[in-house]
Amino acid sequence: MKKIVLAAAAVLAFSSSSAFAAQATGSASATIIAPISVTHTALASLNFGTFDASTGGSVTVSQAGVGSVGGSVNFVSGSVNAADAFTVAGDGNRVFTIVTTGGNVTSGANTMAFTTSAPATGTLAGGVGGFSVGGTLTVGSGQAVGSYTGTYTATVNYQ
Amino acid sequence: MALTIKYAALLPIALAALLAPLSAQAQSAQASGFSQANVVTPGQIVPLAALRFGQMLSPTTAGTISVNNSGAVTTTGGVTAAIAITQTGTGRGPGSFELTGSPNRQCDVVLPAPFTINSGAQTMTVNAFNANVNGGGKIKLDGTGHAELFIGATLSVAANQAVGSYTGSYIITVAFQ
Repeated sequence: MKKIVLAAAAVLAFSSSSAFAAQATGSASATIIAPISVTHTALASLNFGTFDASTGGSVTVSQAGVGSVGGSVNFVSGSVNAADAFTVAGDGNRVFTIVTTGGNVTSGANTMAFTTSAPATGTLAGGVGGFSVGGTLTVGSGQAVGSYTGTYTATVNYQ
Repeated sequence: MALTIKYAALLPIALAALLAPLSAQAQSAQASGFSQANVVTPGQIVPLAALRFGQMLSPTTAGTISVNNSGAVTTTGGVTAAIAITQTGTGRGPGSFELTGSPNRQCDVVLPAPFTINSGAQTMTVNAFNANVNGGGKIKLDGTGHAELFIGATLSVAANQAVGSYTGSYIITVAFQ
């Protein structure tokens, strides 16, 4: 029994003189951010107004909602123009990209094509943001009278 | 009971008997110029940087992101698309620790067991640790007694992982030989 005790003591003495272990606590992190979403503002629309097509041309609405005509197109009295509007929700103060398509407006079998203009990017402030969309409508010569409507798509992504 | 007490009393005596020759040996070693090899400078390990998996979207399918001790980032599954966003703040990177000890010492690094990082009740698991050590799991201090230890790992992200800022901690043990 005496020998066993001595062996244990020898091991203790050896280990204390040959190695020193130290520990540290590290931290790890990851963040899952809120998804980004885009919502069309109720009742808003890209409104090219009311005009006389004549021999054709174009109608342009700026992102600020100001209308202008090209070619032989003329606004009629009382015509109203408007830019379209979207709200964006997401994470913090992130920058997001904006892509909008063009499209067609139709009235029965009659069609006019339009392109859209939007900022390339927007910035969220506290998770909230938004942007406006303008566009350019191409009007044919003798374009048929009618109320034309159509749709286009706006897509946002985190940069 | 009587026997137990008796052996306990024997232990300090045995230790003293062993330590006496050891301390005498150390003194003579100093005189002969070998003292620097025998003196053990207490080692120190200090955390420098957190292991950062960065910011990502919630993936639609499960996947993983691995941040290697070299800083290389690889992904699998739905995480591949989820991490493709601008990183704000410090970005992704391995954990790092400053080791200080005797010059040119080999140090054994004990990597942590898998652990979780949490955001409230939500969790993600961190595992598959790696470090800038040699095949024997050792890192060598340089001529001034310093080394920077980098720790990489893999994070498992579930499909539709809940939004949140996840954090957790792990313990690194280094044996200064």
